[in-house]
Amino acid sequence: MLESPLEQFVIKPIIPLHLGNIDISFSQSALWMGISVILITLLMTLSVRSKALVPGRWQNVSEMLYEFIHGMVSENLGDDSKKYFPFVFSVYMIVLMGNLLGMVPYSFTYTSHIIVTGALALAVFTLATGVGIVRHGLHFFSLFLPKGLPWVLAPLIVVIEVISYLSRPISLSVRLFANMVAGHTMLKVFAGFSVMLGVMLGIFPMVVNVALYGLEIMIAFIQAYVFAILTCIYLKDAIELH
Amino acid sequence: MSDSIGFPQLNASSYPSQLFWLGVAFVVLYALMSRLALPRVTEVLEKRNAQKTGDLDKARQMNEEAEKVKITYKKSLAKAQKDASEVVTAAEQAISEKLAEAQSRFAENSRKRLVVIEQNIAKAKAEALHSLADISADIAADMVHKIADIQVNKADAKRVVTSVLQEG
Repeated sequence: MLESPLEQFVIKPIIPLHLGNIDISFSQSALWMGISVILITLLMTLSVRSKALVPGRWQNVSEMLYEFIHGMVSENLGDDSKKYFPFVFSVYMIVLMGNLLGMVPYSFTYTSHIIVTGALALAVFTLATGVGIVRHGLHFFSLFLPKGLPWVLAPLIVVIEVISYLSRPISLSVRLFANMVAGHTMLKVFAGFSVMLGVMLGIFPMVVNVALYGLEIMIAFIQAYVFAILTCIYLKDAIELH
Repeated sequence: MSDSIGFPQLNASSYPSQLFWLGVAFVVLYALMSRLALPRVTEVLEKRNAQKTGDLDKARQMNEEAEKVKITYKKSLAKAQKDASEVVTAAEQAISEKLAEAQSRFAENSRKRLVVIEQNIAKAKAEALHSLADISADIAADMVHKIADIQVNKADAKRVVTSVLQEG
């Protein structure tokens, strides 16, 4: 009996836990989040342990990740980049590591759950809006009224701007979640074909799966990058108000 | 179970635990990154940058020093060339002066000697002429004595011969 391709997304508690009436069981999703945090921390600390002037292989990886996000943040946020860099870096790394660890057979992709990507997107959205309001007070809402707008158009444009602003966290979270779900479902479907067709014919879907696997690794990087760059852009909008 | 899973992402009963553990994981990750990991990488990168800047500064400084040395070398070379040419000019002048002096001395000596020689020649010529007159007078007197048997005073003979010689 073959499992449904969606079976891989089922949350399975490992250690049942309750906080009052709320179920906060430690599931395989939480396990892979923990593995992710541990791997990121090990990568970013052990690799620079020797503080080598000429970086080795792993130190180079850490430095590249650091400089990639640092460049992105300072390009968008300028003087304020120092404050937001650890946040954007953490967002990028937890998304990237979640996407990549999802590619390990029998693992679990926590970024394939809308509640996870939604929470991250909402955190970004809340931070950006909070920063905007703290910095500019009520003037922040001029974000919804582009400069030089004819007053006749103002009501229409303001409504559109508010809707587009509020849809930011939705598009941010759905983009990542949908990519992950689609990719993993497709891999599972082709793997299912291989199992159904047997050893001789099953090789063909497997070849497709190898190619898809490469594509998915690329998507893992791209989606993490998109998440991080949009985080930067939203923060930039809040700081600069256009 | 696989018949009734539906779409697991929409199973709201799993949301609290996912949110809780995501929150824990993210807060822990943020703390570790901002306190521990990123400052270390920053330190490494800054150290390298400082080293690079230092090396570049040192290189620039050394370049400047080399430039200075080059200028000094050029200056001293020019001075040496000038000195050398002065020495050569002085030597040339000294040599030409000595040469001129030697030449003029030689010319003077030659002229003096020439004068002396000319005088000697003139004297010898005068003496020769004188003795020629004496001999001629003697011969003339003897001839007159032998041919005409006339005793001629030697002084008279000499006077005559001398006047003839002077006419000739």
